[in-house]
Amino acid sequence: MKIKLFVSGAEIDATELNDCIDRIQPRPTQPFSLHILDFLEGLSKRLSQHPKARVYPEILALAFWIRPASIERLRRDFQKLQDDKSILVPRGLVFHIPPANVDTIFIYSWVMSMVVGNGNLIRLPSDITPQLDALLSVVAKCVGELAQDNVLKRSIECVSYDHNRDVTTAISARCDVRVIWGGDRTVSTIRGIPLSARAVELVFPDRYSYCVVAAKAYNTLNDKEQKSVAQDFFNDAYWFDQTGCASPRILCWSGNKNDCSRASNVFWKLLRQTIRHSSYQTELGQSLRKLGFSYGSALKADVTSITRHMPELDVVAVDDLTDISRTHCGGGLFYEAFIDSLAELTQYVELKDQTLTHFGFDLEEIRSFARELNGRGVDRFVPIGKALEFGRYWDGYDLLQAFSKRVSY
Amino acid sequence: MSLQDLFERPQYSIPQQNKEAILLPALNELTAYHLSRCPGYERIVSALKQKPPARRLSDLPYLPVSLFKQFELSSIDPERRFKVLTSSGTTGQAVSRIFLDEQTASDQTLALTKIMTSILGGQRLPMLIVDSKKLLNSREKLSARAAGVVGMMSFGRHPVFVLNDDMELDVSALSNFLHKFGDAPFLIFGFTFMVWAYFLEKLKATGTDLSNAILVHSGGWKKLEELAVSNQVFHERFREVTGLRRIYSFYGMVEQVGSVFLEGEDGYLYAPNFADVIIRDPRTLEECPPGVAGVIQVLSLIPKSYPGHSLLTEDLGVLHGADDGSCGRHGKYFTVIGRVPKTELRGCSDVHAYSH
Repeated sequence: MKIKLFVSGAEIDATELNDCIDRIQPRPTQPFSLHILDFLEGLSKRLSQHPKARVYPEILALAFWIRPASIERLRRDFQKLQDDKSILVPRGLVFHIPPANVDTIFIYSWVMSMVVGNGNLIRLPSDITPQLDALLSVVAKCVGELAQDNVLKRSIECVSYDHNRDVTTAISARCDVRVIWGGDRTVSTIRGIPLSARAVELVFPDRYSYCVVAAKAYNTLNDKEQKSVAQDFFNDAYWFDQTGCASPRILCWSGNKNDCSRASNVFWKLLRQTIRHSSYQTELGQSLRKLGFSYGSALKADVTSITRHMPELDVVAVDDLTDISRTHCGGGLFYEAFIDSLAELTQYVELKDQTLTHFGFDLEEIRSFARELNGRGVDRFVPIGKALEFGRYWDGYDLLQAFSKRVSY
Repeated sequence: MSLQDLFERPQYSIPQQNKEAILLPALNELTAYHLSRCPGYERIVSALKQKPPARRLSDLPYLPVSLFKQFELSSIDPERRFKVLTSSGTTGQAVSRIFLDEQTASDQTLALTKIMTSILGGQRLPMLIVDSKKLLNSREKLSARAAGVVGMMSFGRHPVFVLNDDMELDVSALSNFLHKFGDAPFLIFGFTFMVWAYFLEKLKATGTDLSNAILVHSGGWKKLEELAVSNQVFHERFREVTGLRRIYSFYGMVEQVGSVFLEGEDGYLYAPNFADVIIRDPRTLEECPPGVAGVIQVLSLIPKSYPGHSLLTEDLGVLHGADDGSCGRHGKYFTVIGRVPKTELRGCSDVHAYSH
């Protein structure tokens, strides 16, 4: 069986796998070393000038996220994590397993691992999408252009191999951290493959997300501001076809019935306009899948109305969020519910719930709601419009910390 | 006009406008019936904007066929279940489960009879089946293909399976059959792809005369399209190789019993008296005018034991007109052009389950 190395461009035999792992520097530099900062700055420039940057927004988003100012902020956060009794050092070789289908989100965890000084081995998904291919080609190019004596030169490799448990097993035995992105089944399958005694694992399984808007606050906005909330919601929901873990699937209006229904009417109208002005289009199969999903949801949950506003927007209104299953069809279908207050949500929250995007609440309300939940679900509260913004805190981890070891003295 | 009357009147004899005037109240009645008998159906329909009764056929609520794969929707008490139909599907795929009581099952049989006798006449004709006998040997429940064959066998006599267990043409069985029955009308039935690939393609060499045959086939054109075989090519080749001219494909599905849309002599599909089609834009779900491709909605008066009288299929079709077909049949005529393409999902969750 052949294993393709994406960065060096070589192709190796399974028997050469251990040599390949040997060649990867597990701790190439100190955290946030100049080598790392230079590399990411170069990568950011390259990505922002990429000819496909306009076609694949993922590319621009990543370029922006690793720009020097943003890495500098991370560096300061990292400094704050250290104190007069301890420092953080790299864990070593990190083995990244991205989801089997598209999605470039794992690139962010790779960057987080890299900045704190780890070596990284990425197992590429079997279907590499054009956007992922574009991204990885730039990474490979940037690594290729590093001077021979640059310590980063041999700290990154991407491997692709046909489904083969042996290769996954061999790498798992040698890595210090294993990162698994994917569905629940993927995560549990790979979890069955042993790690070395000292290695740790980060898992990013299926998640579910929603949005809560304070109806009164929304109603007091002027036209332009209301439009901009709809635009933010659109970006959160539609960018990954509403299939990202953080894409909102439920929209809750919080407040009294009158405020809620007034806000709801205005909002859906503005969202329709936003969709019309965008290039987003529902494909035929998706359109019918959504129809089947919405009709099916009436058989499971307390559905009061099913409305197809347009092919790109279906709204399933529910009286009660109790029986909402955490599966979803994507493509622009939203459950809508009216709730009295944030606190009413407490009873519906599940461990699977990841991101709650919000509008119209102050930080203190959010904090006390998070305290009230006490870990029963929702790892992330972000203002509407920022659902897909990757951050150092993800799925309950502090990644700066999780990719590091703490040494005390 | 009752269902019995629609059965008794010659099929394809009712002009579209009259037919819609007959179907609309009857379908509205069925909607009301299922609303009162099937709680799941009631939950769905009461959530929709369009409230029954419908004022036009296109306003009738419809269920996506995919629902029957996930949910048991039935308007009869479990003890009245007489027959459970399941759709074909590859292993691991969900299949539809359709519950029939005695009444609906007998209406289904009668409906099929009325449709088939419109081309076969009242007599049972000698019958060649383009399939292998082993199809019926399974001890388990019948596959959908086997059920189709069994259903058609009631319209023939002296059935002969013309393929052996390896799906090869049994030349001696064929020539024995033709020797006995070839000089008078006889029936050939099979699935479209098998009829083409395992039968016609093998007949090329033998110069067999099938000019007295009436060929009825079904199953879809997907595989044949890959071979660039259209309905027209299908007809032409049969005529050239065997002299067979009377060819009728039909379109139908397990989920809507009794609605079988049979090809007319002009090559288009026609709805029987008690069924109809509407073509909808798959994105907006608005009704499409003739000539515009869309997803096929099927309507039928037969389904009484389950809420299947108005269904949105996953097939794409085009309506070509109504009442003015060159074969003289009345009603809408249309063609099926394929399945709605399935699109890949994007996202973090498992779409293709990961294995090593």
